[in-house]
This record gives sequence, C-alpha cells and structure tokens, in this order.
Amino acid sequence: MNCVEFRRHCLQEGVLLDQSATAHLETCSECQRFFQHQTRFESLLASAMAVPVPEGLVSRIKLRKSFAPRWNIRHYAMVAMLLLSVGAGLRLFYGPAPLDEALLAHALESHAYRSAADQPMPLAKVSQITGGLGAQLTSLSDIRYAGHCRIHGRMAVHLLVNTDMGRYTLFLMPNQALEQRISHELDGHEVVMFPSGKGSIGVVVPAGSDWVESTEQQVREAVSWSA
Amino acid sequence: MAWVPLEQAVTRISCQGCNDMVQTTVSTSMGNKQERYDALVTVYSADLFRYALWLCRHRPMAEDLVQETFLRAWKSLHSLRDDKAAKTWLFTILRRENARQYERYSPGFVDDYDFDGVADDANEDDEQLAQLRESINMLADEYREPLTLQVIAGYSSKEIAEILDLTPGTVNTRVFRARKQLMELMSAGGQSVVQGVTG
Repeated sequence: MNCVEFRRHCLQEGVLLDQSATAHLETCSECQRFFQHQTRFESLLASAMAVPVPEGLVSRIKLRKSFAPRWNIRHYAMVAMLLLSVGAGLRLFYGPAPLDEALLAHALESHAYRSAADQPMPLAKVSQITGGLGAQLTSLSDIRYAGHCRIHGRMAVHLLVNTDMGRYTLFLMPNQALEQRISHELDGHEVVMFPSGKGSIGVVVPAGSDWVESTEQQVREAVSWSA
Repeated sequence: MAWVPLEQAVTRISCQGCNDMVQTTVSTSMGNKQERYDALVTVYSADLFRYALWLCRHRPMAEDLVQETFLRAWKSLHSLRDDKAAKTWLFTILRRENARQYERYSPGFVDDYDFDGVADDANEDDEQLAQLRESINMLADEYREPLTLQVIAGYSSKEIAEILDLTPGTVNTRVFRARKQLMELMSAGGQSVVQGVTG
C-alpha cells in the first residue's frame, strides 16, 4: 500500500485499518501525521453524529405499541360477520375506531406538551407548518405548539391551542378520511373526530368539559384546505 | 469538548464482542414475542433515532419514524427468523418508512429541521461540533446516508450496500466523498481539526 492508497482507505473506512494499512502506517511518518489528524476528525465526527436521544423514547415506543390495534383485518372481518349474523345494529358494526385511541395516545405522550411554549407561537410559523399539509388556520390565535406528526403512519399537523377555558389538542389529518363525525370518551378525555376537506380533524379535550361543542364549532370555522 | 474517545469511536464500529452481546440479548428472548420486542427496542432505539434524525432532519418526525418502525416490527416480528439480522431489518424498515413519507408528501416542509434543539446538551456547545453538524447537514443525501450508517450503526461497506441497494464500490466512493467534503467544509470554516488532513 502506498500513501495515496492509505489515505483513500482512511477516508473510506475511518480509522479502522486493515493489515496492509497498518503495515504502511508503521513505516511512513507522513501518513502517521495524517492518521493523527484523521483520528481526531473521526472522533469529532462520531460525537457530531451521536445526537442526544429524547428522554423517554423507549417508553413512548412501548406505549405506542400498546395502543396499536391488536387484531388484523381478518379478525375484524370475522367479528363483523358474527355481529351481522346475530343482527347487530349498524352502529355496533361501525363501533369505535382505533384512530381515536391513536390520537389520544399521541396527544398525551408526544413531545408537544414538553415543547409547548409559554407564549403564543408566531402565526407565520404556524402557517408554515399547517401550509405544508395544505391547511390554513384563521381565528385560532393562541397556539402554543405546532408541528408535524404521524397518525397511523400518515402525516398530520399537531397543534396545542390555548383558550380561556383550557388547553386542547388539535390534529389536522388531510390523509385520514372519515365518513362521519365520531366522538368517544377515553381515559378521562373526549376525542372528537369529524370529516374535513379530503381528510379529517381530531380534537382532544378533557372529559366533561362543557366547551367541547363550542371548540368543535370554532375549529370547523377556523380550518380550511387548499385544493 | 464533547469528543467521543477514539477507542470508543473505534469500538462502536469494530467490536464483534459487543455485536455478539447484543445478539444474545435479543436471541435469549426468542421464545417470547413481547420480551423479544422489548429487547429490540432497548438495544436499537437510540441508534435508529439518530439515523432517523440524520435522514429527515426533524426531531419530532424522527421520533415518529422510530415509533412507526417499531410498530411495524411488532406486527411482523414473526418474520424475523434470524436474530442476527434484526438490526439491519430495523434499519431497513425505518428507511422504507422515511421513503414512504417522502413519496406521499412534498419534501419541502421537512427542511424545517431543528438542530438547535440538539445543542441543548451542555456538553455539546462546542463550536467545532456545531459546525460539523451543520456541515453534515449540508451534505447531499446520497453522501450523508451511507456515512451515517457507517458511523452510527457501524456497518461495513457491504452491509451498507445491501441496505441502500448499491454496490460496495459505490458505497466506498460515497463515504470517501462525504468525508472529503466535510473536511473541506470544516477547513473553509477555519476549524483546525482538519488542517493537515486536506492540506
């Protein structure tokens, strides 16, 4: 191995030297100097790449799995057939969708609460985020967090909105189609989902809040979608 | 300075004993799906997050990508026959998830990456580190991705080639160019760490 090959080897493999590279290093003072600088660079590179991992990541991964639907499509089909055969009503057939559980889990466990600002986010920043998924917001002025997230594997906008009555979570889901409005109470929260544009919107508020309906109405009026 | 000691940097890449230990951790739980899943999460979630962050450059999205990766892994864990393949399997799932995201959505908004948040760690306020992160971020995707897999996951050129569907020769060329560009960017920024390397 000559000096050019040695340096190419270092730039390809970092500081892992094979036998021939090690042999060259032992005999070449120029390459020893090069290798010293290279090892410093590799150390810095490893540090730069090793970005801090968010606290609680492992717990949130496990929690998300616990909210995942446990049945596959075949199981659902079998249950649906059974329910039909005993004359179960359509409402039972279209029972609670796992989407609401996903929304609640995400609302409670996501980074949003940790990242929520003390002051309203600049509307330009909020618009940039919502606009990325084709949504426009008007009249929701006090937004403490806005970011992109994934709900059931599809991109959504996640917002934390402050009101005089309390804080609620809003999901704008342009690719999560719903046929009709759904509302469920889960674990001390009310999750309301309704069709909007080509997708849907989800609102998560504390259960028993008497401002659910007014909030939903406000959100319906505030959100519009680009074609 | 928040440098990883050289020995540690080398060990991350080369320690077969560590790889064996990781595989043992995963394989001892082979009989129980839940335990096996937990072992995978514990062992690989940090590296997957780092890989995801350098792929999409958006911290919340990187975390979502990792969560989605493990969700998919849970659903098809039965298909993972060889525990030695678990790491590559997970990295491949994550990469596909990221690709799905790009295919479905305009990539414009994901440029809202947030490496300011990365610098929150008190030990990581080093100017060189910040500049190097910025430089890594400026690399073209085709250069940054194989370098990330090599440095973070410790993969060989052959393994990276399999994950990225490239030839090992192409991988070598790309990581070579990635390092060269990083050194040039650092030199242009006046950082002495690379003086003498590129000169």
